[in-house]
Amino acid sequence: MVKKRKAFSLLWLILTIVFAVLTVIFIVGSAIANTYSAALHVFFNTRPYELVQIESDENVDTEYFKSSFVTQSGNYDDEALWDYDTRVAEQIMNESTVMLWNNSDALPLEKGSSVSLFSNTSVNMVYTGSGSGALNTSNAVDMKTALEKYEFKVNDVLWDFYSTGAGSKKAGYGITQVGSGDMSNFTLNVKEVPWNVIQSNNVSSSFSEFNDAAIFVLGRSGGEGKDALYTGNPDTIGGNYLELTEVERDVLNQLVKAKEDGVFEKVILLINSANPMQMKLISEFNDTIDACLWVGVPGVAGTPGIAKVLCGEANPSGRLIDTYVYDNGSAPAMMNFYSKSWTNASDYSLGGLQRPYMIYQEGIYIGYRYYETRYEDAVLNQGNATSAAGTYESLDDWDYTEEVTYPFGFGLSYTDYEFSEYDVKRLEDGDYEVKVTVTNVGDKAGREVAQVYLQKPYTEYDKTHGIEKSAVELVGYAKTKILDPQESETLTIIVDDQDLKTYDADGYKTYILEDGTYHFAIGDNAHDALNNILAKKRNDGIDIDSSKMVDVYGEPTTGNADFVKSFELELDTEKYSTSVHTGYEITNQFDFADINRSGEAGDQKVTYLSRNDWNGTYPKEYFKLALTDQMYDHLAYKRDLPQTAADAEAWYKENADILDSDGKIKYSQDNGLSLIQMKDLPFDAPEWDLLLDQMSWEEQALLCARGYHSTAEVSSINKPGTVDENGPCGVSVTFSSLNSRMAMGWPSACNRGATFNTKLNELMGKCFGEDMLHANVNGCLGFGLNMHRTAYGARNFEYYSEDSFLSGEACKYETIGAQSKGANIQVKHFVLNDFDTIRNGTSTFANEQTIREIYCSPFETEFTEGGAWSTMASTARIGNEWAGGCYNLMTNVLRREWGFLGYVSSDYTANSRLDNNTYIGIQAGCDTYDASEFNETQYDSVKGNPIFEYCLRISSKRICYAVLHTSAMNGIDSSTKVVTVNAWWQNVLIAIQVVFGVATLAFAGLLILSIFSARKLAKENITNETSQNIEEVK
Amino acid sequence: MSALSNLKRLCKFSFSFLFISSALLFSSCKSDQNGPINSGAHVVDPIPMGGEEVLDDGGQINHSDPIKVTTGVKFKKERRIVLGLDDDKYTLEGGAKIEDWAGAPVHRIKLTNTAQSITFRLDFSKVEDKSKVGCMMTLIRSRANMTVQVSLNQEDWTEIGYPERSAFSTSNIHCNYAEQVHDLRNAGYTLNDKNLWQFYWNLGEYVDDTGIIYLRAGYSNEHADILSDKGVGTDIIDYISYFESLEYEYAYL
Repeated sequence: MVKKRKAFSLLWLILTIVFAVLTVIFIVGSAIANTYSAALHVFFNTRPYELVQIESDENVDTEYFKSSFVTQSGNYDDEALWDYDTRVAEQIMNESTVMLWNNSDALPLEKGSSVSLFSNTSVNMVYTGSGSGALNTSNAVDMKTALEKYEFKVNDVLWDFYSTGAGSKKAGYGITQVGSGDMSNFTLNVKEVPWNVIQSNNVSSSFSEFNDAAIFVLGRSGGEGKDALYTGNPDTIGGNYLELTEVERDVLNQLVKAKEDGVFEKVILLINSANPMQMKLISEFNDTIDACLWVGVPGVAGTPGIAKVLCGEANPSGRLIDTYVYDNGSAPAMMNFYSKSWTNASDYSLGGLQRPYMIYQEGIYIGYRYYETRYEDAVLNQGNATSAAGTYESLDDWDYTEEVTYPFGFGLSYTDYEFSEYDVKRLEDGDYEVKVTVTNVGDKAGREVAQVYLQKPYTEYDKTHGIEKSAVELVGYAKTKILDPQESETLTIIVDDQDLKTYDADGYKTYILEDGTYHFAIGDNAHDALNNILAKKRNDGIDIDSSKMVDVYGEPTTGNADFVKSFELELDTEKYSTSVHTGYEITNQFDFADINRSGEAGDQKVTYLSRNDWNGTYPKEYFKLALTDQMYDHLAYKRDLPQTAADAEAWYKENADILDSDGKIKYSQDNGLSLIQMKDLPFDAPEWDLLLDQMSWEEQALLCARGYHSTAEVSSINKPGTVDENGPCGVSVTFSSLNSRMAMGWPSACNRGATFNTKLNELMGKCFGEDMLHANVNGCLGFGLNMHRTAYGARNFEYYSEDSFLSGEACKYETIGAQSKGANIQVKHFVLNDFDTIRNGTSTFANEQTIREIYCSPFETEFTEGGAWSTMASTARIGNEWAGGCYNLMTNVLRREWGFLGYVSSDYTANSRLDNNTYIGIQAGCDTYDASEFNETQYDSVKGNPIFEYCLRISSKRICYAVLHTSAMNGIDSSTKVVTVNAWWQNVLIAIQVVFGVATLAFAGLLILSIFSARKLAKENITNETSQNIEEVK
Repeated sequence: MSALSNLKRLCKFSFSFLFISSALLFSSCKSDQNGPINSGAHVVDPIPMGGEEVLDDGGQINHSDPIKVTTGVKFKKERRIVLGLDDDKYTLEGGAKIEDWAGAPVHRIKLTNTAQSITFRLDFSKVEDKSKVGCMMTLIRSRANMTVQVSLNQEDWTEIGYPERSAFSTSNIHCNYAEQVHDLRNAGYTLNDKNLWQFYWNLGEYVDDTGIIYLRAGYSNEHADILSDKGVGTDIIDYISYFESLEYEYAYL
């Protein structure tokens, strides 16, 4: 009996200890969970507040943003939206597919053709990239399904071989990202299946049945954190990730041989990569592979669009968004692409500030701006253009034909088009109206793109003041409807006269219009348009070396001057020196980012690439830069900004009437206003001050501190919280974890840009917004507007192009579409985040003309014309100032020049990091922070500081103003209250703590009882035994 | 205290834990802030997606529960009663009168108060299958106080036409089908009034064996539509028709 009781005591003891430990674990866990509650709300798709309707006026329609996809019973019709999304995605693909070559009209294939798909990538297409642009691709439409949709017969044996057999991923093949899980530490592997493995697995016997075409899918991936390598990749030839591997080259050769042996009728190559492949080895197959299509990155539903092109049901109408060259290293930006440490980094105790630097030494000459400008100078015999500097593939002098494979804007069709009746008129408002008639003169229906390029004069003034001019710049484009054979359409394209200005950082220190001849040209691509301009120049008597004029294929050409209209304009240093959006005076804002102008770099000077002397200025090595004391001081994140102090002082003076009797900002006032009541009021309406007075300091601090995939709810003004999700290619990833509904994973931004179809961009944007509306997501951390500065950018798939105009236009229309459905588009990364390797805090130097004309330009279009409500600050530095802490960028350019009324969020950050710092950021104009653990105490150290109180008030207003114009306000009227509550998972955690706590106490109680009981029993036993002994003794 | 009693206590505690857990979990379910996205109260965006001009396939939305809508009419043996011409086939009340319709070779009757009405006598007595009979009126659509009624005895009236708003409605007057009119009476006269529509009603359920039914148009405050022209009742242009057989063509949205 005593033993049994001892056993129970032991059981209670064990249970008490176990539950006590569990209770402690869950108490600690709950504390951590609450610290990271913003992240968990995103993960579980919950919200920390609820909307309580006090009284509802049924006549007020509070569904401010409505869906077009609603069932008869009033529910969102997800099925119909998915169907619509897939159709839009498919059309994006067929309108973005670029036909690079098509020998003997090999394409389209006949309907019902039997085809064999080669490469591991053919069964594991690169549907997207990794990182924040990733998608849930578990249900992606594979190439076989896509082909079968368009009645192709696909070789099953080969398909099984690559998907589950000896050529599968399980067998170690495919495009993979191998790393430790750290975003910045991975290798992009390319393990293609060798021909002998294909042969040894008896799949070749299946070829004869599926021999109409062998289709090889060549894939390359990209992902946040690490740029692709020009040298050092373990698998590819020369270590160049964008070059073929030996195995790929061999398999292509084997397929060509099989075709020659009669095994296959045709060999087709599909390039499944957002990053432009190096064409040196691929072009070896120009004559032997029958056709080649760039298909980009199709997202989860785009592959049928490729199949539609292959069978001819759609005519390829995509145009290249990047220049394709024989050696990607020939781009001058490549010399300064992978960031390096300061030459004297060891002299400084940099600690957490230690980051590398990078110089955009190539200036404005990225992509076609370099290749085409150098080509023109070669033809004009100027600027030492044919010198050896920058020569990679040319045998002797620099030769366009030997360097460039396909120019920007290039793309073939199954039919032919003719342009006619080209005309350009200057309108009364100063803009230019371009008209051109496009006629389909072939025998198949199709769409054609009209591309308008501008050439500004390159003057002696430019040479003196370091201004560069690209030989051609895209300034307009339009796409026809589907034109039947012999059908025509006249396209009208408006070119903004602002596109004619040039930034002069040295002379007038503002935008100017230089005097000289401005040529407006159309062409099939950038190179074709330039040849037309050269023809016009020749006709105008300018001395050119016509023998050097070549077309896309290196054949002699004369160009066509009929497709050029020229205007003689006079110098104007006034008109463009003030912002057309705000009237703010425009002057230098980025001298600090230009080594030559910052005054901080001592004797160190950068030679920027100039068309005045290609030979003397082409970067020959990574620019070596040493840190100076002044530069080091600027690296500090925690600094006071005198400009903000001055702004605050002026604000307090101007707004004395709304301050309290001590001249301080009012908090927690009871003015009875709700955010929704501001809906139709402008940003500067006085009612805003009454509303902001209602907020407490803590509410403002939380709103301006924690912007992790959300903005915080504010009870005092009944502002709902928001859910803001990744990313630029679709908001599908988070939902896949818990929510059965999937949002569309869209084709890459490259594909969307390659459509050159702004109507399609806008429709896609609407669908994107619908996805968000249906999923109850208010904001999107995208689209991506950084540039394809080189071919190797990790996130080129998130960004549109090497061209700033195309990027700005495509993104603008997508934003207009998405925001019409209540989405808050947080375009990123503003600005100069055109690389990913060690992007956090890298000091990025560039001159002002380059920053403004190339890298800021698409953002300016996005904010001033697209109306994006928010933006994400780059995590890199501009010069030595973090972008979000850069007053000149955040306030002078973004707000004062461009009139942006929305808010800025930082990129991801945390307490453990020094970058993306709230102290400097909130002063500069970075309004909230992508940090889950930041809370209302973030600004405690500056509480009561009038400068920071001013900053938080202004930032709170910007956030509220933006959210007010989003779907977050759906269902809210002036009587709606925002009440803070626990989400279900928080209640579960509380419940578990209570249960475990009670269990611990209960078992402890039982243990005590058991011990007492055992002792009592033992005492009784002893007493009984003693009595018994006494009796026995008696 | 026995082991048995301890076990009993343990069981009681366990039940208590379960109860507390259930209560808390239940309350947590109630506070799921994601909320019902599909509240059943969504209204279709009146601004179309615009895919019709962009997508090769026509850009139509394929609703998962397609809404069956009428897209046209098929009728047999139409008879017309023309205003100002067939005076013997209608009666006017409350001072209602036939007027010219400015600029057009047709007449109209515009009813502007509750006393005014026009009643047509429709004779389907010779129609064998009376279940398919119907009528049509040519009306100005945006009349806030319009009403169309039917009666077998001119005493008990049933309202079949009145102002109405609906997300999928092609008109804002309750009817079986409506379509806009551009060329009235096929007289080659192009009408410019965008509010001129023809409204169709089935009458099979209202008519009895005699085949005589009265169709009255008037003025009513019953369904007054705040978005339409206030203070104007039914506004008939030119003529009405009635048919021995009125059927519809359908499509799915």
